[in-house]
Parts: sequence; structure tokens; C-alpha cells
Amino acid sequence: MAISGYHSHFVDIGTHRLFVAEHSPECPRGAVLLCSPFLEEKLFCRRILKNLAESLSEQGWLVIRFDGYGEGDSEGELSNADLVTSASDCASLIHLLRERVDGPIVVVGMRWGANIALFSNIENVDAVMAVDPLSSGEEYVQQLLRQNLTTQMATWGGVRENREALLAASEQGRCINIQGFDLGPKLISQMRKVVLPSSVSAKKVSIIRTGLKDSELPPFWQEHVDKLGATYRLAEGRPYWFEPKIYDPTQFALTSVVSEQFIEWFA
Amino acid sequence: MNWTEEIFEVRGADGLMRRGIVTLPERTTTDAAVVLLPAGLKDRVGPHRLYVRFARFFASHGVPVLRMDALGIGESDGEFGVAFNGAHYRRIQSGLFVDDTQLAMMGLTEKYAARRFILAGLCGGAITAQLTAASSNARVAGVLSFSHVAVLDEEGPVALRTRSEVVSNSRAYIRKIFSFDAWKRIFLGESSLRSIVSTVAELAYLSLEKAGLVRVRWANENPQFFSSFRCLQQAHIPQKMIFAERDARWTAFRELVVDGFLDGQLRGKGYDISVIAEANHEFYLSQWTQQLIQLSFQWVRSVLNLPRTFDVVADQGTGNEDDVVEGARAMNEEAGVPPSLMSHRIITSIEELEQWRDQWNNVEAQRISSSPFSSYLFSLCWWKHYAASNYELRVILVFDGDTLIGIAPIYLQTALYKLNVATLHLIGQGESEKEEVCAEYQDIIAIAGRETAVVNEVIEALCGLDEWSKFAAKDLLSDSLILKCLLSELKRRGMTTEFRETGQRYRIRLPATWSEYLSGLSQNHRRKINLARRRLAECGDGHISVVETADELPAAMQALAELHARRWAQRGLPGVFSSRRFMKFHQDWTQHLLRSNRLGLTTLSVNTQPIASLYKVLDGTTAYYYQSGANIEDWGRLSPGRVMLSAAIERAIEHGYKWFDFMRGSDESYKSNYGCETDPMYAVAVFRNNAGGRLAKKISSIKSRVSALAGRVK
Repeated sequence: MAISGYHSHFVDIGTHRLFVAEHSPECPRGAVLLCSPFLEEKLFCRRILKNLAESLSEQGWLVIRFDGYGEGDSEGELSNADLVTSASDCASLIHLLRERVDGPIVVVGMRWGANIALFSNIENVDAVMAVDPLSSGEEYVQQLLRQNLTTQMATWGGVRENREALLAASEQGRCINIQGFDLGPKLISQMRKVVLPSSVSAKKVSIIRTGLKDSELPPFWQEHVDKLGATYRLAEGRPYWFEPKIYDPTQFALTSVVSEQFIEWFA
Repeated sequence: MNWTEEIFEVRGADGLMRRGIVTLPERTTTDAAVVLLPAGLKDRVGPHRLYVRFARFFASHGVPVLRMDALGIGESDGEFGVAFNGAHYRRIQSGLFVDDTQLAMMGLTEKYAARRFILAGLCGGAITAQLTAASSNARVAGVLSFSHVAVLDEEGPVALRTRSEVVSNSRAYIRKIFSFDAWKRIFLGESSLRSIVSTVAELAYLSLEKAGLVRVRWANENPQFFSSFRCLQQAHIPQKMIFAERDARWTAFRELVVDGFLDGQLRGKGYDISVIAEANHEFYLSQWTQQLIQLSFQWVRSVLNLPRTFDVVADQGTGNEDDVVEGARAMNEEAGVPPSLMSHRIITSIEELEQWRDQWNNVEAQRISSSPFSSYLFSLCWWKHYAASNYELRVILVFDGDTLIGIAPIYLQTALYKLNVATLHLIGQGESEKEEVCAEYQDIIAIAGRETAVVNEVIEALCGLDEWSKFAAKDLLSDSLILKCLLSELKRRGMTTEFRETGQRYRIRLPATWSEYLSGLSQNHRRKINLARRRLAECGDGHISVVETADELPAAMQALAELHARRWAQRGLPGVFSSRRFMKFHQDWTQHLLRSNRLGLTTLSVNTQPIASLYKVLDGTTAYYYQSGANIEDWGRLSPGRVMLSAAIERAIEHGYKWFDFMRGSDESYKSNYGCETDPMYAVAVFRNNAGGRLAKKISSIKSRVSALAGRVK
């Protein structure tokens, strides 16, 4: 039964329960699955995604946000998580959305959530929008390792385990602690292999990147935009996915750019 | 999984919805609930899901927990405007979420019949909890704060410095007062004279404040903190504050509140402060999180007077242990006690012990102070090489429910000849002196916050074992559980106990830099170190190598053994490496240490000839100096021992270790030259009140007299 307005609940997808927040209009014209950033970035982006979801809901879209396995309020532990579970969480929720709406289904992913959206390549999805994706899993893992080193420096005044030692420990089965999150060896190993795909099954693909006005699209991204046959849009602004000095949960430019893309696709 | 989670919603008079997640136990054992409040702008999940783990643990032990999003946070309605983070934090620190917290308590009362509340939170959540409790004390049973904050954040830089910054800067200036370079920098305008003058003025203020003549406001004190704190004390609402040692918030809190307001006392009327060693602001590492949760639960259990678990004494050897445990479980369930049972199991075979490897490591990781000689790998290695036909394992595992929370790593040495008695030793001790490993700082292992429960259960286990007459342990620190708890309780049960000092632990509290370390040594010793290093450098062919791969290990061990033997040969003794068993033990253990990056084995060579060797064990925050050897006969002019030791200390500083531990030494040890702090170490013995115990006591007494006589004769 569709409930109009905001509604949060737990969805049992068979193997575990996921926390899901729904923003549903009276008669949805389609549905959107929002894939959040990962780890602490997710915490900083929760309100941004909530506001984005409300904005899309006002435009007639049934929007759901969720916490993946081992994240947020969902069941499980990240130390046991892997990318297959992430992809399967997305696929299960898309399946549920497909049963509820007749219109198009769009997956909007932010940061690592964008990479998951592209990597999962879920069938029955009409469009994928990747907001500030990472260029590769390896690059992201290196960023996460840097956070671990920063924590070591701040805590112990020096680095006790460098990147190589951390990765070697992960290969031997130990978790790597990133800002308090224990990432299991399987997840780390899979993440390092993730690259941007050259094609996805969705017919419509868009890549949105946040940057300063008139920022040029780097050649790497231009190449992938071309490969994917995607549209590219720039959201004018500064990175919002870590604790900023200025708190802005609305990210007006980003919300506008996403809305414009929806209008272009489904007007 | 013995908890469930539900969405929690409560609408305020403003029409806006506050949301959260409530975690409910399968069986609630209290009329109270814990409310976890937002850590600044972070939502109900908390940093790295800390709040989720906390709530699920508490619910699984019978206590419901609400993780709440205040207005504008997480899933709740409302919105914060675009502004500096500092401005938002300041509003939160001034009580922005107090009304929402009271609304949440009302919602919990209406929907879940909660009558009392523990308000809890990290950082901004801590001050919200305290301010709310002060304004609605009738229903608040206690306040639980993590990384509490007593200052107000600002958008811009803080004008006034904290006391510690003033003191630290002043010390630095005093150290440089005779430094030509420092004065040169001032005259050239490279150092800020204004900053120096300002520090001196602030130091003067600090002195006046210490003398009680003025009360200076420092670093944006939050006036509401102090008034609400007093309010809780007057209303008899207890507060538990848990801090992280490496958190700047703790430094600020300690000087502002503990030193400036609470007379330096960590415990007092209505409050209790614990500090988790090494932890950072948000308790990133899982052992810190677990300690935080354990300490919290222990305190909440006492505040809410939760029913105590029925303690089980496992009936060893009769085969009906499970019946006893099940019987106790049934009794607990009948009494509404959470499904948590203290019990123990005695491991008698190495095969059985190997199954507990991961759990042992887990307990060791959650201890307040760990030691490499209490690790599973050390114990296993020692047992593999030293266990004789008259050694029998008696490792006591202590459980709370199904969770291993403590270990007493002991074994029984039965009599080989008549004038000996069955004695319990810690694994790693009790071998003959000529081949002894010298395992120090051993103890009963218990996860933080559960020490008493573990020792009580170990005592039950020891009393249930009738095969021993004496328990002996040595090289214990004064804060060891054996010395602090076990000994007095066994004495209370009619056993005879004795303890004596065996020496001192020598360890260096390492500063941030090698030069800072050197500057703290006596001039004479500093000169000796510098001279030794210079001579080595001048000799040109000196080289220190560190074992990094398994291939390099055998040669380095062999060099250590030979150099160690040389040193002892000068005293006319063979040295402990002449023992085949000792050598094999270390060949094995060093391999394990190397694999886990905890070995520090270095060799000093001149022209490829090893002339000194040093063996360290690295563990957590401490580098343990375990063994060394040097060829003094041929290379004494280079002071190879001193070079190696100073290099080892320097390396420990570079790698961020907090302590360089020389381990036990006598009162007149050379170790005292290295700027060490000392702590006494003890040996203890417990004699049972039976024939064997009395015989053991007699033997011990005779041995002491003979030893004293021998000393006098020498």
C-alpha cells in the first residue's frame, strides 16, 4: 500500500533487514532509488539526500533512500559486507519499486553510491545518474587509507602501519579501520577492482560533478562520458561530502542540476 | 538476535516530527530507557555507527535504547540554515536540543511505558544530556557522556589559549632561554615577540589564578556547563563521563573542569570520570568502542539497579556442567534477569585451547593494559617448547553468557620428587632458572570493565580445583589483578599468602623527538651516547640492520645468541641461549612476532661482522627491550651495547611508541641512566590450607632462609 508523504520503515529482503526512507507523492510518475555515499561521507550527506528526495518527490517521483547491509540502521556489520551484497540490496529494492510504480525507474547514486549504481548495472532500470562518482575503486581505497594514516598521525603522532602494511594485513584477512568503520578484506579486495564501466544496460546515463564555475571536464571523465553515451552536467559548488566549515544541507545547485536532468529526460 | 528495532516518531507542538530508532530487548528488565542524543550535527547512527552498536548491546542486555534525531538532524523534520558549523555547534552547546529531548522522553513514556531515563551522548550529545537532565531531573536517573564538552565553539579562531597551551609554550621558552639561535630569531624578527609577551602575561595570570587571586575565563567556557553540573549534583543525578586520552576535548576538559573546577579529582560527589587509553575523540578502534560500551553498561547497570546475574560455579569433572548452566539460565529467566550468565570452563589440552585462539585475542585486545607475554601466541609457543611430562594445562576461561570475557592462563606443575608440591603457575613461568624465558607483567586477562567479575569467577574455579597446593606468580605489577584482587580474596578464604618485591620495572616515557629525549638525560650520559655514536660513525663501516623478512631471521637469531653468550662468558656463565629449549622457543616466537610486525630484532655489524644485537618485542604503545648481546672484548671501544640501545630508543620514538620498556631490573640497574620511570614488581605465592599447602609453605620458608644465608656467606 502506498503511503503519501514521508515514511520510514525496515524492509526484509530475505537475508537481512534494510532501513528505508520513502518520499512518496499521491500518484507517482516513476520511482527513484537514491544510493548514498559510503562510511562517514554518508553521515554528512544524509540531509542533502533527504532534501534532494523531497525535491524529487515534489516533482512527482516516489523516492527511496536506504542504508545498505552493515550501514546506518540496517542489519549486519560492514566487516562482513561485500559488493555483491551491495548490488543485491539495490536490485531487491528496484524490484520492490517496479512492483509499485508503472513509470520509469531511475537510480541516482552519490560518490561511492554512484560507483555502486554503475557497477551493479541493474536490469529494468531506465536511467542512471552518477553524482560525483570516484574515478576507480583503487583511487577510493587509497583515499580511505589516507584517512587511516591521518588518524594514526593524530592519535599516535606517527604512522605505525603504512599503506602497504595495511593492505598486506587486509590480504591476510584483517579488517582495515577507516574512521571507525572496520572494512573486511573481501570488501577491500573487491573495491580495488572496481573501475568505471564502458556501458550500462540503462538507456539514459548522466554524470554530474561538483566544481567551481567554468570548471572543465578532465579528459579522463570526458572519455567515460563518451563511452557511456552519458550527458554531463556541472553542479557549481564545493565538495560537500566531508565535514565542511560551512554547513549547507540544501546544496541548491546540485538539487537544481539533478532536477534539470530529470526534466530533460522525462518532461 | 535478542532485540528488535522500530521507527520512533513524536510530533511537537510546532507540528514538526522528531524521529529516531528505538531498539527493544526481547525481554525488558527495567522501567528505564536510554536516550542517545545527536553528536553535534551527526544523526542517530552516530560516528562509525557507534550509537547503533551501543543500542544493540544494551537491548541485548535488557535495556531499551532510543537513538533520536533532533529537529534538522537525520530523518527528523526541520532544517538548519546555511551557516558556519561552529555557529550550529554553539547553539547545540547552549541547549538547542533540550526541548526535543524532553519530547522524546514523553514519547517513550507514552509508547513504551518508560518511567526513568539515562540521557547519553557524545560531544554535543553529552552537553545536551547534561542540560536536559538539569532541567527535568525528576525523570532522569543518570547522565552518561562521552567526550564531553565544556566550551562553546566559535566561528573564528579562539582568542584565549587554554592553560595547557600557555604552560607548554612557557616551558618551550624556558628551555630556549640560553639558546643563541632562539635569541637570534627574535632579533631578526623571525619569532613573534608579541606571542612571547602574550604567553608570559598569560602565565602570570595563571599564577594569580593558582594563588586564588583571580578567576580567569579561558577558551570560551560554557557557563551553562558549570551551573547544570552543580544542579545535577544537588539533585543527586549521577553522571558518568568517559573520555578518550588522545582527544583535544579531554585535554581542554581536564584543565578547565577537572583541574579548575573539581580539584583534580576524577571521582567525586555524583560524578565519575574514566579515560580510555590512547583513544581518539570518536573512539575509532573497535577495542575502544567495546571498552566504551562495557564501561557504560557497567555503570548503567549499577545506576538502574538492574538485577544481577545468577553466578554459576561450573561443576568440573562430574559431567553435568551444562545442567548447572541451564538450571541457572532457567532461574534467571524466571527472575527476569537478562540472559547473561557468568560461568567458566577449564581447558586441559592444547588442542582444546587452540579453538579459543580468536576469542583469546579478542579479550586481550579489550584489556586496559596488555602485555606481549599474555598473548595467545606467546602462551602457545611457551607451552609447545616448555611443557614437560609433569605439566598439565589448567587454563580458566570465564564467560558472560556465551561471550569469553576473561582468561587465567595457568598450568599445574605436579611433583616430580617428594620435596615438591603441585603448583599452579602462569603459562610462561615456572621453568628452571637456567632456561627461563622471563615472562613479565603477566596477569589474569579480563576485558575492560569486567575485571572484578572475571577474578571472582577465577577464584571460584581455583577453589573448585582440589589438585593444587600452591599458586605462584612473579614479576607482577602492583596494579595486576592477581595482586589487587585475587590475593586478598584467597586470603579471606583461609589460604596463606605472601608477596615480596622482586625488582623494578624500568621504562622510558618517550617524548616526541630524539633530541627532546637526549635533553632529558644527565650531561654525562648524553655525552657517552653521543661519543659512542660518533665513534661508530667515524669507524665508517658500522651498519645497523633490522630483520624484516623470515629469511633474515635465523642468522640474526644466531648472532644474538652468540653475542649474548660472549657477554655471559665474561662472567664465567654459559648464558641462557645455551639452552636448546630456550633457543628453539625464541626461534619459534620471533617468527610469529615477525609475521605480525611486532618483532624488533636489530644487528650492529662492522665490516659485516656482527658486534651487537638487540631483541625488542613491539606491542601497542610499548617497545619492550627483551634481550641483547655485544662483543665487548674486541669492540669495547665502540660501546656497541650503548649504540644499539640508543638506536633502539630513537627508533621507538620515530615510530610513535609511547613507552620504551626495559622490563625488570634491580634497584641499581644501569637502566636508571636512561631517564626511566620505575614501578615495583612483585612475586606472590598462595598456599592452600591443606597438608600439601603447609608442606609447600614450609619448603618456601626453608628456601628463603637458605637463600638469605647464602647471601650472607657470599
